[in-house]
Amino acid sequence: MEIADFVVVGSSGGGGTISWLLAKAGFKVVVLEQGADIAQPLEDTLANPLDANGNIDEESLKYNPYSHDEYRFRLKRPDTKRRLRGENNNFSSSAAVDAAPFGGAWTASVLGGGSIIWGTWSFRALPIDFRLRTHFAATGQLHKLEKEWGYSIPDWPVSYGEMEPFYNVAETLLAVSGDRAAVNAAVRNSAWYKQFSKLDYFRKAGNWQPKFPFPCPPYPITPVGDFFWKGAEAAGQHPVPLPSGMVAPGTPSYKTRAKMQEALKFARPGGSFWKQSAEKIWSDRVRSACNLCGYCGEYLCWGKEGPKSSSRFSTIKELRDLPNAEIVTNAKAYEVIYDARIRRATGVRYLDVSDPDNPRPFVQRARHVIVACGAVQSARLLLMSGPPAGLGNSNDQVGRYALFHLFGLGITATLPQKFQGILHGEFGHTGNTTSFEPYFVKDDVTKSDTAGLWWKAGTMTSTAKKNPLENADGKLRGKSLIQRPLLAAMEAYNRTLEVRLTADDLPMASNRVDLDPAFVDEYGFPVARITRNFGGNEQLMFQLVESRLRKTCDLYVKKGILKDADITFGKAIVDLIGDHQMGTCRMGDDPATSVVDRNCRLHEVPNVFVVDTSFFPTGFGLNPMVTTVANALRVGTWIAEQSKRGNELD
Amino acid sequence: MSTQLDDPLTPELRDTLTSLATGLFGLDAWVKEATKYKPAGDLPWRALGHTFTPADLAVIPFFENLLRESSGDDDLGVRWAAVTASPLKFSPLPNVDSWRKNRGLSNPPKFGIVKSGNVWLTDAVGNVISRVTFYTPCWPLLKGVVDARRKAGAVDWALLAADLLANKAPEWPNTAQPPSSAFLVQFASDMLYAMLGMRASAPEPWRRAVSIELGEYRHPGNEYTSRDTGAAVKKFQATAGI
Repeated sequence: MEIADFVVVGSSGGGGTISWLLAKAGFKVVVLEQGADIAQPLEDTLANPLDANGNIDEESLKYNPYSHDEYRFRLKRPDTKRRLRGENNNFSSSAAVDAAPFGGAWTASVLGGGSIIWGTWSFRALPIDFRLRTHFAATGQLHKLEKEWGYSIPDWPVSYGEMEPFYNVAETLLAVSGDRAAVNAAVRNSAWYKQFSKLDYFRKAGNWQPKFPFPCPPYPITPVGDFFWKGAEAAGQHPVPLPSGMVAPGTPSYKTRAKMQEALKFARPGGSFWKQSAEKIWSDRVRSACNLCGYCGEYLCWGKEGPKSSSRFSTIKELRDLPNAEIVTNAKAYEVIYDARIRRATGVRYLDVSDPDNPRPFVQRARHVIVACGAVQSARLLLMSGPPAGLGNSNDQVGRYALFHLFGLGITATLPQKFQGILHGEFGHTGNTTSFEPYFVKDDVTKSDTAGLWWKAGTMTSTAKKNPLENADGKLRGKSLIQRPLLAAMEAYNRTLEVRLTADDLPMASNRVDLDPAFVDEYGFPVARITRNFGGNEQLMFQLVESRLRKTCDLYVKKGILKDADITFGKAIVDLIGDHQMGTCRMGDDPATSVVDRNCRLHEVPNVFVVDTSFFPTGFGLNPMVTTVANALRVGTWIAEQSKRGNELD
Repeated sequence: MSTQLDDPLTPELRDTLTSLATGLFGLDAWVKEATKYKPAGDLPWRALGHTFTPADLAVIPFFENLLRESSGDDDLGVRWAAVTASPLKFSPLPNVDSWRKNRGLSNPPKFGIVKSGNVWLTDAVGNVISRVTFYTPCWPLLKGVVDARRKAGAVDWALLAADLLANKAPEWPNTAQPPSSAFLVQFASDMLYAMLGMRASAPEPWRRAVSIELGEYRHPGNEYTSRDTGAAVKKFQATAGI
């Protein structure tokens, strides 16, 4: 395409979603994805699911075990599904320490991005997540958080109410399996909710009890999920089936169009795009149901028709049908081209790395640029573009307030030998049942000035051990185990499970992404340097949550199944920067303290948008995918609407 | 090189590695332990008089395939060596030095891919190498160790494996590259892949025999229903007494 209306860099939940919406709205769209299309072999080997009469051919929906390969998807190096072969990020826990290359802070580098290999935990944010500043100001904790601990906690410029209709559509696209009534009850019955729901600002933050039903029934409970469910109930919590972005096992083939129709009937988002009928919006494609094969997190789902939700198997498939859209894979973007005379971007430079030994430079001209490469790489791309300070970075805000959640925070319990072969970690995805009880945690541990107050955490979820080869290899390499001790460790893994907290790390300006002054990638571009440390709230969490996590095992301790020694507590690890990366291009109304406006447009360059997780002002303590997709729908709708009204976006 | 890759191991080396793999894991003694978990079903390796060894699982043919498949890693090593020597060599920017200077990137450029861990095998100085290149210097050293033990009598392969892991085999000097411990860990890792990766050429159910003995039911091509999860939950609850 010579000149596109939009060039979109990245194809995950943000880029993959907004590119579809804009192309469907009639714009010329080019998507640049630096990775390959690893799902293509599935499509090459399986037949079309619709027969000549347009009926579903069930045979063609059968699984393809091509991707059932633990070594290839979890151990093999270079791990080119995560990052291009010659790429790395650098990490430092402090600006005073030289950053060093490390393996973290990647989601994925494939068509569909992180949505291909994610764990499918599908939460929408809670209303108070959009008003955290208001909340902590009301409770009197804001001074401590900001003045003493150094956080900067803004309210979001958009409200839960603005996001809600897009959440419904996002959950429809992601075919979320879940039990809405149970989720609502779990929230309603949590101690923190009972504490705060009496307060006016809290109640008015948004609809705490949404009625929109999840498009799929709840995912089946597994033994690991049941372990947590019973233990959490006994501890006074309110566990629920984990909302999961997968077509629930046993449900009829998922018809997105019909589900979209239901979502639009329930609450049609504003904007002319959504006034169209579902037939105009979505094709008659069907998706197959999950077969619980268990190769989910980090793997390419077996199904050609996407039982596991991803942009690759939903919006990108639809996009491919459109004559006004083009997808370019193996396209490593390295500059948003900026014309200083008109203060506008004019396109993107990229390398075609189909043959990585012989990359070829290309330019894609466009009237607008959408950056959606994940929070780390989006910041890097902006900092490599435009003026020396970086594109949209006059106020030194690009890359700041990076958020990664607290990964590794949880307990690991190893059950006795009679449970060998009983837990069935192979069923379905990693998580299964969850609890909102620790969304805010009261300090009943310390005797400091934080005592008696409620601090931000997240959700607690059962997680199964699913990768025996990776575990065995780790025990061999990490602990030099061979022979019977190695076999014993392999046996124990089968009886082990985790209860994991996905918790907020609150935004600090010093937690940031910038360009490493020394290290470069294969093509000589500076790698991203991530400086990240834990603040006071995170440090406090390490003290507060251990007893709460352990309580979920009390039932089993009382029954003599577990001893305290069988349960180990793991604090979050500062450089265990997992798949949740957010912040770096904060959304806000004030250009002095944020990078993009409420419509995710750079304050300084009005024809450049950032539509992935980078815009998140705060991080929820929840998997960000549903919010990312919902926001991409919101921003895409705004763009389409502005254009329809004849407004120049630039 | 092509001959080496067509037939990477000699018959003698195959025998040695098969025995070493047996000593590495002790599978036969493991499955015969009285208190060990006994998986359901009529499993052929548990038949009376049968010995359960890695050879049953076709691990050495799998290993030979692995040597062939990963031989291309040497090319990547050459590439990384070139980038390490001149980190801006492949930059598409017309004036990369001034571009860097403008952005305050004044430190001498470095390439950190090995340190980042996105490589599989390296030599002593950090060059990326293939499995074949890694193992090639190991074979004569291993032969020296085995020959010396054979002269002293029957080889205790479990002891030999432990000695290699501890760098305690006198015939494998501590100055050698790679050290015997690095060899043993890599070989054991490849054997684990052969046994747990479930892609070796052994027939079913042998291909996943180790997984079955561990109580791991996951395997390529598996699929389940909510009936399976329901039954498993009931069994879990019965075992836990809840």
